[in-house]
Amino acid sequence: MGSVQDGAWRRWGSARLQLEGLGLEKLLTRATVQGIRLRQVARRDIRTLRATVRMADLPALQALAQGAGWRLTVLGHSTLGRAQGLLTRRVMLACGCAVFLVCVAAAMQCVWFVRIQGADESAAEVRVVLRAFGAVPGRLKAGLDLPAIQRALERRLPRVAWVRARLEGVTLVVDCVPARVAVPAQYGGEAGDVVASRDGVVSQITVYAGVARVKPGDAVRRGQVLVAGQERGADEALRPVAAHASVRAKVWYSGKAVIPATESRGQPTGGEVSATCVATPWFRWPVPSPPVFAHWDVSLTRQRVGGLFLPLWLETARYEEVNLIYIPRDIEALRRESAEAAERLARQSVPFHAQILDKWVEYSMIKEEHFAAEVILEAEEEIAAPLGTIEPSARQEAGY
Amino acid sequence: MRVRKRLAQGARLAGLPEEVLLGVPRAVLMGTERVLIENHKGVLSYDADRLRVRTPCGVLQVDGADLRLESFGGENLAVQGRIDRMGYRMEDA
Repeated sequence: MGSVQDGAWRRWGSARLQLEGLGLEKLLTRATVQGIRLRQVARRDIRTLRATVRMADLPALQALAQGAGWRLTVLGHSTLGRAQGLLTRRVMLACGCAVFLVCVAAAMQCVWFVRIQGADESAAEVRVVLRAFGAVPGRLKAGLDLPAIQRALERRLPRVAWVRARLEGVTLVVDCVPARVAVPAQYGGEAGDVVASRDGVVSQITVYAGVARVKPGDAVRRGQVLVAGQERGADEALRPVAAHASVRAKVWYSGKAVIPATESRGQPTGGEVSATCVATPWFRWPVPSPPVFAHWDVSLTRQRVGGLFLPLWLETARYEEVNLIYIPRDIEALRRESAEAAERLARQSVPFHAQILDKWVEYSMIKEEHFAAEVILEAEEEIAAPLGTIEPSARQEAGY
Repeated sequence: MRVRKRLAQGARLAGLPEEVLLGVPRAVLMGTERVLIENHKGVLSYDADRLRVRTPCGVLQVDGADLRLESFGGENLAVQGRIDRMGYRMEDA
């Protein structure tokens, strides 16, 4: 019997072995039951067969053979199994694979592509800076000083607001965000003033073009000029310009809700009247007339007379006289419901860009029958608007 | 037996593989030189000309020449060699 050497390959690779004895089929079946997988099983004669087994399964198979009196001989073993055989037969293939892997690893150490994103008209300047730092295809990645490249790009590109240089595999990527002053379209073009879009108290004003006519703390009316569309030039002459400013102001929105202060309930008096008529979806005959009661509850019953498909039925209205009783509602519930309704109404007027700062609620009872709540919301929002967006009546009210 | 038949009918109707649901053997003959047998219950006899395998449906016999068990483990068996004939022998079951 061949011996199996100790070593790492005891658990790896496979062994070719020969089994001798009678009823070797039983050995195969028992090996299968124990989870031992045999390969390349070939019968040599009535008492002998050869098979290949994983090294990890060899001890179990040896124990199985020994226990039942079969003879097991290890003919040879392969540490790397098929891979070793393949590599032995195809030496040049193995060498080629190794060379290929080394070449790929070497190629991955270099920059092969340069990509400039978002630079628009500054792309040429970016390329000049990259060339100055030697960041060109074929350059070793380890030789690139990306922070220095980034600093140089930030310094030399006035039309770029933000820049970043990074490596993405074998590509050097330069991300740029062009510097653009965000000027709303309505401020460009013709000269004109900036006026208030609604009443308020100015809390902050920033003028980009024109001359400010108000200051923080001033109360302004809708249509009032906030920034005049004129500037004094070097020759001390006033020239018309398109005023441009950001004016934030405290503004107030209100909402009022009135709800009944009492709850009405009907108490039957015993008086009752019934009226029957023939009804269709289009008319009733005879035309029903209301009862003589001051207040009543009515119940309708319909009886079909034309079957399921003919829209004709007898309609009986039963009027029951009632006396209305008014019960006062709970004052806390009234306050809560009316305040919620008033705030909902007030918030409907608040524009999306306004920031709500505070809230007041005032309650009042109207003739013991209704309860009113008025909610006032204090908000801060941008009120600067070009003159053209305000209707003429508002301009006149503001004395424009 | 009736239960198995019902299960087989049910599996066919449901489109489920019978060999998975009922454990029936599955033999795939590839050309004349290779046969794969799944769900077998052990080898009864094996030599270079004949292989007899126990299955839940009876004894599956493969006749041929130069037969080798390429892979043998679990419930699967791959036979390589010249395959002449394959079939069940119910009298041996």
